Amino acid sequence: MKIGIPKALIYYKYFPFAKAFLEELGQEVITSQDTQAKIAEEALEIAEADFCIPLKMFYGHLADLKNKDIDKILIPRIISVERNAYTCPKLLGLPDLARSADIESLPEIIEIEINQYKGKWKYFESIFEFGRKFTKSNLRIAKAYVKGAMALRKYHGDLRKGKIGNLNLHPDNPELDIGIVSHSYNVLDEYISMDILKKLKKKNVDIKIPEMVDHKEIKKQTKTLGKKLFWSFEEEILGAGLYWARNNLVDGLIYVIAFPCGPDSFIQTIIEYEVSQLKNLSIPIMPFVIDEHSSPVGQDTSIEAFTDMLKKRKQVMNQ
Amino acid sequence: MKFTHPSMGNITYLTHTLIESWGLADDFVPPAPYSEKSLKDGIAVSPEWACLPLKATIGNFIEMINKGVKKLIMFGGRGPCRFGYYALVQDIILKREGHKVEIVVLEPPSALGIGTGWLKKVTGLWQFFKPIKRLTGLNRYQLVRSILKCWPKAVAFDEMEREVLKVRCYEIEKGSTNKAWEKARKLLKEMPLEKIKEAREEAFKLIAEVPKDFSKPVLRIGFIGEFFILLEPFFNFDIENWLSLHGVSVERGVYITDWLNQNRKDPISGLNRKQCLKMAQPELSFSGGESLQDISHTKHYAERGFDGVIHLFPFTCMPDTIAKCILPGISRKYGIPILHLIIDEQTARAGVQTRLEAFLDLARKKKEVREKCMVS
Repeated sequence: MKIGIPKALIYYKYFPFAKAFLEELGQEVITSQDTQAKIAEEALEIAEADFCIPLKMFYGHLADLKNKDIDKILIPRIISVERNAYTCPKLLGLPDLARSADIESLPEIIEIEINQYKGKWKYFESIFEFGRKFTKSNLRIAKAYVKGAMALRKYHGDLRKGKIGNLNLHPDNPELDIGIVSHSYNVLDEYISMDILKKLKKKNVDIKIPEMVDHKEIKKQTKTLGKKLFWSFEEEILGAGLYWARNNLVDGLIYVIAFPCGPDSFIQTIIEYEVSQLKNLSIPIMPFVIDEHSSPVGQDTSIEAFTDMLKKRKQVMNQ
Repeated sequence: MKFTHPSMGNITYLTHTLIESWGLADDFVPPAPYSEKSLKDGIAVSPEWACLPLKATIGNFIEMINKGVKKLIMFGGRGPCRFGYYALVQDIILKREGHKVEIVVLEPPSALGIGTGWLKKVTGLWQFFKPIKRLTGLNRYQLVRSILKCWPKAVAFDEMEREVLKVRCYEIEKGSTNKAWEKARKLLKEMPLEKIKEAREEAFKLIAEVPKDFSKPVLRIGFIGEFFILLEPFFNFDIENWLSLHGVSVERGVYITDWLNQNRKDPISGLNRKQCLKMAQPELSFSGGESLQDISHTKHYAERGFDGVIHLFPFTCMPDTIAKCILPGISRKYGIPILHLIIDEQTARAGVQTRLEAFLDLARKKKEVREKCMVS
């Protein structure tokens, strides 16, 4: 069977797993093309006006898959990836949103529910239930799971080293260290982020992304807040930002927020406050809001101004 | 130390009784009703696209702090809707603005329990009472007793509200039901807890005695949407009253007692959480906030022959935006018109009223056509 996977949202977190898992079970995996103007145009016609830009682009990718020769579309329902926490509310209902979308003759949508809220048992049950759509052999499914987990580990390992495709986020003699506090589906998508990673690289910046921070370190940082965070992906980016700021590992932070991301609107307040309370000199944070009307030129200006300011600040502090 | 909680619809009637039974009536300051000024103050310090309830409650808190309140009681949550983070963000914002106050957070038992199943429920309940113990000085047994005693009163308030929404449109003299309702609420509020049954009967009698004309043609409209906006008349432009004046019998999908006890056998809105989860399938399998209730109540209203549904929610509310995406399909499938009203701080009353008038015209015409078809 040919299974289509939209190149949006959780693609940037878990695609290598899905690809290896399905290919091991003898399926062919086809993705939509990279986000670009044509996909954005279709997306804006279909999606609700109030959705954040990555979710809008998701609709565009669905429409793109319609044009490809595929049998089914896989849209996972990622409810929870750890105990007592959820992912984003929009991701909980993603397959339902896709099915109710106004796209003609969309291939059948199959889903797998990932829910670790009450522990890993249900999660493994879902994996095997999903695998049984393609094979009757539990052994084959287990093998496919292992292959998927190894592929995902390699992908996360590459991200930790700063390797994204051909792009290396660690230049040899960087002038600045900047941490990008943002979700992977914002920052790793060139169109949505307006190529922020390449632009910062051109400015000779050593870029840090939340995927580079160890999970234990993230938990250590977020434990200092008054409440256990119940959004796993938000906890990752918040924990990473706090880790960099509190350990003086960066000269500045850029917080890329998609308008009107619900969770991010709250996390922004939290991180700005926590960073402002640092005992040493506090780290500058530049919030950068993206939506479908954002101008790449505007972003260039902001990045230039921010990096210039950080360089000047570094000079003054070194004197 | 003076304390209060955020204002929301009729909630003060319910909390007043409970706080009195704890002997803290002297320290309690009833929350001020919302106003343009308090909303403006809240907007000035809140994140730009936070949901309206956060901005409103922060403005409300600032107004109460200026009146000398030092402790603020707030409910917590376990997600996935943003409500669970309100207390944390409110605390940060008030600290940042230089207000030295304490926010006492009442996290729900489901967020506090350890382990799974019954262990989680029991440990959760045990932890739930910790902040209330500290505030009141009473032990858990006394607290549970007081809540169980006040519960019938809270339910009576909600049942009365349901009745008023249903029959107010039939009144002959405009405003007579509201006057009777005010009397009935006062009666219930002041009656001691031991006489709650009699009080309830008397209160219902007051509403039933209002002269009504049941032969009036009315529309039956269901209300769904986000909890705070549905319950707080300042933010929904007193829409339920307006609809009653325009010949609409209203049924609402959320009530405070339903929200506090989500799996009750006799929910005031007609469906408890388990039933909602079942009824929302297959269009919506899982979501947070009120989205499951939105979908299931819409289907429920459609099956009972309602003439329309109004969906009210604040701008950027995540679960309700998902419901908004899915509801048009349900509207087409079940043949029930749905009006979506997104409320934020810039929504104007006139605009909302225009849209409501247009919607009611549409619903009336549709009803006429449907009745003609049935007759022929």
